[in-house]
Amino acid sequence: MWLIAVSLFGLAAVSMAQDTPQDAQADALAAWLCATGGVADGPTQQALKIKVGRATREDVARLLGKPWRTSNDADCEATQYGAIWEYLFKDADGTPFRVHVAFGTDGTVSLVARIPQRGRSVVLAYAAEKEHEH
Amino acid sequence: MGAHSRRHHAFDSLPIHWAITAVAVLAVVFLFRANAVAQDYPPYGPNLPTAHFDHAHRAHLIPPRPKLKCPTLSATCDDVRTAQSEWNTELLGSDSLDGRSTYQPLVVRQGDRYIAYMAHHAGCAINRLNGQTEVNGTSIIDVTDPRHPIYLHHIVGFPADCNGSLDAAGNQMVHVCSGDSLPSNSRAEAIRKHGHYYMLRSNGNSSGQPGSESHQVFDVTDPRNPVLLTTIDPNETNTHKNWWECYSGIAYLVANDGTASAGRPDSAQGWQQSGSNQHVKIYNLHDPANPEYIRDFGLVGQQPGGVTVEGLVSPPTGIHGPISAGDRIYAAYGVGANGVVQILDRSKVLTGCTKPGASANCAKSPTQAEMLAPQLGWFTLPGTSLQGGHTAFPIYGEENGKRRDVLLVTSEEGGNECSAGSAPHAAWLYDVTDEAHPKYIGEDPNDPARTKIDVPDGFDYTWVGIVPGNGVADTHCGTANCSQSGVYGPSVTPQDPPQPNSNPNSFCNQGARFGVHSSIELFYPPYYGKLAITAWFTGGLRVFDIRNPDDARPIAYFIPDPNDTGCGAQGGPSPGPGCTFGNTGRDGHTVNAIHTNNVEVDDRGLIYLADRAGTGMHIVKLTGEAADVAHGDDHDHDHDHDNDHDHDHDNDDHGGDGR
Repeated sequence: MWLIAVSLFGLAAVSMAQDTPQDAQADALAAWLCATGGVADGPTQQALKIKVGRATREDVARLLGKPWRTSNDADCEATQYGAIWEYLFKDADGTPFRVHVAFGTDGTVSLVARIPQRGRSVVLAYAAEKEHEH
Repeated sequence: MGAHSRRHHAFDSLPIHWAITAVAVLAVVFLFRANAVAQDYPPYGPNLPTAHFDHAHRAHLIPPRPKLKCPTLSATCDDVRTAQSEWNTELLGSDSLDGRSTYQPLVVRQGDRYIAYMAHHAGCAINRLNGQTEVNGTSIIDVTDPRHPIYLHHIVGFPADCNGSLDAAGNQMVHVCSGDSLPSNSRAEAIRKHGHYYMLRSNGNSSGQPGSESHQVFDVTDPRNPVLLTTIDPNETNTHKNWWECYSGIAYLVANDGTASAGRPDSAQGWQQSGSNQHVKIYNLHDPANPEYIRDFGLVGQQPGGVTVEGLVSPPTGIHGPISAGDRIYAAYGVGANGVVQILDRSKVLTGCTKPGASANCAKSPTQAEMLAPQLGWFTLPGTSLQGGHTAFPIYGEENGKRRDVLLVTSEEGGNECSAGSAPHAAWLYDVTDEAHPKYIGEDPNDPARTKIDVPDGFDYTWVGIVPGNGVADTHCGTANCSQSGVYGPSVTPQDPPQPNSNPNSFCNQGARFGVHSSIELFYPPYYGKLAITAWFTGGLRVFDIRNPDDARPIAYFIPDPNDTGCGAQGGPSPGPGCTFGNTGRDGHTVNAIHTNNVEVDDRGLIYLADRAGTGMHIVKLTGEAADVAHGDDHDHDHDHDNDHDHDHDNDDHGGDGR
């Protein structure tokens, strides 16, 4: 049941936010959710609640607390970039992972991803491609 | 004009009392047996190495494929990233820099130590030394033993805490001068500065109006305890790549004045730009705690009320950063698009507003003629609007006994994962012996950017997915195909999982940018005129053999490993499973891969890489063929085609002008 609920939410987040369906990303998310055996860890459950395209820094802080690390690597026009917030967590077996939250130029969340210690990142939801200019 | 005379002209611009006091300074330096000046060439000293170019035909080497996290992608190994990869390089040491995104590395010899100043983008991370979360500023590391860097201090950036937006923060640019190199106006000043080192850094980024940025000067004599001396022009916007001549004190600060600065003696309102919103503000920082404003400058048409008569857009594109050497200033405009490079007479820039007949408001609002007076030449780049002027590094030299001066120019890649429709950003060499008529050399018509200083996007070093693209027609780039440039097609970025045959994994699948960003800016004689050393984002460090500038060839690379093990160096307190930030490319594709932003050398020849994605600092040395080139030990070219001599053994490898 939980697997179904999480899957539906995650996939909905993806399809809601993007302009065109991205089957590969959705498949990746579904595969990851399946790999978890249907039981996402608490932090990832919280991360999945972040509403891309709408959630602000304050909303994210309410869900996940203060970030461990942030970055805004603008070097010409900061307004084109947005920030990245990172959180450190461990899953049930103690394996560390990061939750990566990217903000768009309008200050709302554009992407949420789960970055394992090794291997491929799983994009939980995204709103639009972030384009760097300079 | 040779380099020797250029150097003398550099000092023609100094007031006569400086010349007199310079003698006193020299006496003081002698008496006090001052710390040796760390380097004698720009930006630290006035000497200019002499490059000895040749026309040898050398075999073009195909770089080995990078190592991959998953050599074969599969359901059980789906990590698309590159692993640490090297070709004619060797990793000596590294530091996580606490996972802070880093723009510029600068390594200075301070007495008997080598100190790295790593300039950070905006952000927040835990300082390993105190456990506190601090706004990114400048990390200071003792790299005297490159295999065991020692993190000494983090100068916090602004704002003071990590709550709220950091959009206007960052301290990306840094320069350091010795107080014994800087000239003095009095014996007291010389004594006060003796033995001291001073750091100039940009403070803030793109704050917008009314302007909250500045440049700051710190006394970093004790690098564990830097002391803020002064804040220059505290209401700037758009600070960027500055340049500080340690031998004259002249500093070229890239910025724009915000409206809040109006009324300040050094505030110049009304300068105009397309794209990056910045021009040059020039100060004399011979006494770093007491800046002396000289003037504002840029490309003609940027000045208040100016008319654009050069370049591709109006008003002209903003400058990224200048480099001065001898009596020349090389200014690259446009950053990543609409590139223009300008060659300037340094003396005329510095004295143009104080000479008889100068307009009353020349310093802040020069006339059209006053903007054009110092200009010796200018040009656009192959690809025109598709490529920008980011770095312009001069290489003064000779070939067959005749003067030959070359300019290495880079653009900046701006899009992640090879954005559809964007040109692969690369580097070019120009022959600027005749400064009024710069000539593009080393053209490769088969390359998307029409240059031999490029790195293909495929891991097998072939180009993938390039389609024709045209920039704006123009006649100032030095080639008949000025507007032509290949661009990435719509499907060049591999989807996940990449398909081995139709859409293989490549540099375009690493989350972040792939393309050139910058070259080194230090005039290091053993490499000067031999190696073009560049930062290529996900392509890492890229080194090219340019002894024959008409036929440059790749000679070395180093791609660091993404940091998957944590931010704390040597088991420091910063926690976490990894330090490398994720970057997002097409369709939300997010990868925490390498993102080499800038590279720089020290005067031992070591190369330092700074990672934009928080991977940290890597210290490498050249090995194999690249080291042979640097040391003049290789004899790999076809002498049958060598017009004259291999001058390698004649090069002035140990510093000094050599003229």
